[in-house]
Amino acid sequence: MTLILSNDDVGKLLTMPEVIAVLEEAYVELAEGRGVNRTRSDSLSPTTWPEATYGLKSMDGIVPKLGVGAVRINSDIVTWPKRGNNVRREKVPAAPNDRWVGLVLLFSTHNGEPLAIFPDGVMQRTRVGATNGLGAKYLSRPDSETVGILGSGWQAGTQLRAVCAVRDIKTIRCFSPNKENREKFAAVMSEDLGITVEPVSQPEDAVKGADIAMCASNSIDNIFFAQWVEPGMHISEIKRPEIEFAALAKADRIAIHTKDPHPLHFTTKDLPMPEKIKGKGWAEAKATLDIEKLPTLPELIVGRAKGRDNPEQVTAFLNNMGMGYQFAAAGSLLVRKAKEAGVGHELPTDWFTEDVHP
Amino acid sequence: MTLILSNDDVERLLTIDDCIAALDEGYREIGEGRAANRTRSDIVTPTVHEGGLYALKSMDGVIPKRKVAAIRINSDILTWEMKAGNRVRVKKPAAPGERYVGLVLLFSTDTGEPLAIFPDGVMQRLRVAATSGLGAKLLARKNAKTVALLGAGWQAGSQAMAICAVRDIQEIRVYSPTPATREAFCREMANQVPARLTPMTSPEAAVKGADIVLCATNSLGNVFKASWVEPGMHLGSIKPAELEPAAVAKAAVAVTHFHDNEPTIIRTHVDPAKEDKHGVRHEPTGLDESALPTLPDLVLGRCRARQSDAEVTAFLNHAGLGYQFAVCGAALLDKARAAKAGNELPTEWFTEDVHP
Repeated sequence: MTLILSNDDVGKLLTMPEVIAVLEEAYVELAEGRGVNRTRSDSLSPTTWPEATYGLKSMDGIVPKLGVGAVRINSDIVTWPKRGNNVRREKVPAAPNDRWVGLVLLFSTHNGEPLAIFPDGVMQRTRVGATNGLGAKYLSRPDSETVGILGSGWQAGTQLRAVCAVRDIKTIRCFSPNKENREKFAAVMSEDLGITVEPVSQPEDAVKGADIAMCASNSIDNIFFAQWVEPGMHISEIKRPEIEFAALAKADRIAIHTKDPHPLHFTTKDLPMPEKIKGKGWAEAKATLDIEKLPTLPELIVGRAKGRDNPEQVTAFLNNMGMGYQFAAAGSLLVRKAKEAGVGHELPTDWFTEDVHP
Repeated sequence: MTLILSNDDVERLLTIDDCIAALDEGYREIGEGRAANRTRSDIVTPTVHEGGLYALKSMDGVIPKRKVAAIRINSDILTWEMKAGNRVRVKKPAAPGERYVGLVLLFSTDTGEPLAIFPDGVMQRLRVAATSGLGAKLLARKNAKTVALLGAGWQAGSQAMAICAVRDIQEIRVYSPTPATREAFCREMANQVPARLTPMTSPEAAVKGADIVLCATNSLGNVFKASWVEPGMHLGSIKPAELEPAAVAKAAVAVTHFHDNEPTIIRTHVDPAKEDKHGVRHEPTGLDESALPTLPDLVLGRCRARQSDAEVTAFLNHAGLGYQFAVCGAALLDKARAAKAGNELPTEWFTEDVHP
């Protein structure tokens, strides 16, 4: 049977420490050449939605050791509204009942069969969090206790869960531009983590004195600046270019998630691309930062790259781009736990297989 | 609701004529830069099957005019076998019930929602054949009556249907190495095409005097020789090695399906000593298609077509496009909705209220 799971199922079944553990195992496989990942591709076109672009995005990966291949697909209506001083990239929930469209399909490497289909949202933020958690595990000071987080959205919660899974965190301060959002987030996460999350009105107040500063916004502009860097700090981001280049220049050790520089774009002719027009992202990063020379998280995990040498060093982890591979790793865990718990709708596998040669 | 369709539904609903018409429009759109296509990618690893490989393949495309995007996914167990002296790649039906795994997912470019999910097999062969048919429609002699079909497999049947949809074909002469296979093919196709089907004992006998030669094999070696080319012939192939390069060189007009459509292949680390045995790429064929005009060029009149009945023409249909699934998928959706076909699943199963 092919399992259809919901975001609720994924949220109930996957715990952060387990996802961190399975990703760590999968990154070892990848570093040793025993796993494969395909860089995200975006097929982009006009849509009837005003001032928006349609994007069919996909990424995939296989962890042979875990017997699972995954394809993650997003079918997005994307807009670029200006919020405050920053341009955001926002996905419009344009599907019926104001919903987004992201799917993960898992396949068996043993017999090819589709194992499960589920929406990507909860796993998406869990794997981003777990990845930055691994960055912190391998780069931050082992005695780190204080976290400053910039952002109070969808990604910020899993960033905090992940850092709390790898370090004994005692104090968390949160800034986001909207007062109501950060206060609500602080209340929810204090409950979730059992650690008081203090909302603060300035980004400086969140990161000042923090052992670990985490950026978790959807900004396509800088939000963390060089003057905020303190000795011994570990800084992380979930997308380029949250951390200003001058701040990165102060880091003694920088690791990135993947050397893939950017998604591959396949577009209709003359399609407007606000990120490119504004010169954002890696195109700009290249001038200041040679990503080819930076070690990756898998290299750090297998000890091929050096972590921190002493408590004074500044470290940074750039979760520059996601990998389809992460969905294969976390997906293998999800399928195992879903079967154990008897969770999800079972559909006949025959609906998704065929007796004619493709 | 999200439609779940079966191969039977696709076969019943979508005709070769539908696909040829849809692709004609689709190639105009992409030729004018109003559509997007992503070249196939294969990621390849070991599997538990001895001597085999696991491959997860995907390709996609968007046709904004029809408001449809498609991704096609294959999850294959690949093995290699020797057949009639040629090394051929064989997909093993390893899924429960000895089945293959190929899926197409269609999405709306208006709302992003998933519109349909269905196995790829029937559409796969329809779009390959419809593309070859469109090539023949624009290149073969108008009075072509006789077809030589080299191959009697899964793709050959739809090639026969497609060529009969674009020309008034009287006879199709079928050759494949195994007598029982070609004879069975002729029997099974008899009520699906208006032309007479004749099994032939050699490829030379099949192609001699034919107006159109269609190769429809999974061979990694040549199946049609340059010395067999006759004036006025139209040649079609679906695999790079099928036509001897010197045969294509004899064509006054040779058109390739599309440029820059070489799949991207990413693999786990492989022992170089085993590379050859387990290779997933075709050997180089010596056929250079990079300078040839494409089917969108041909459809839009940007390259010349046949100028006389004596000219030889060729259409090389060697790599598919994810875009074809968007184009044919849009045609399928129209027909499925009109016929109220398929199983409907709640769209909520495939959408979400949390930001991805």
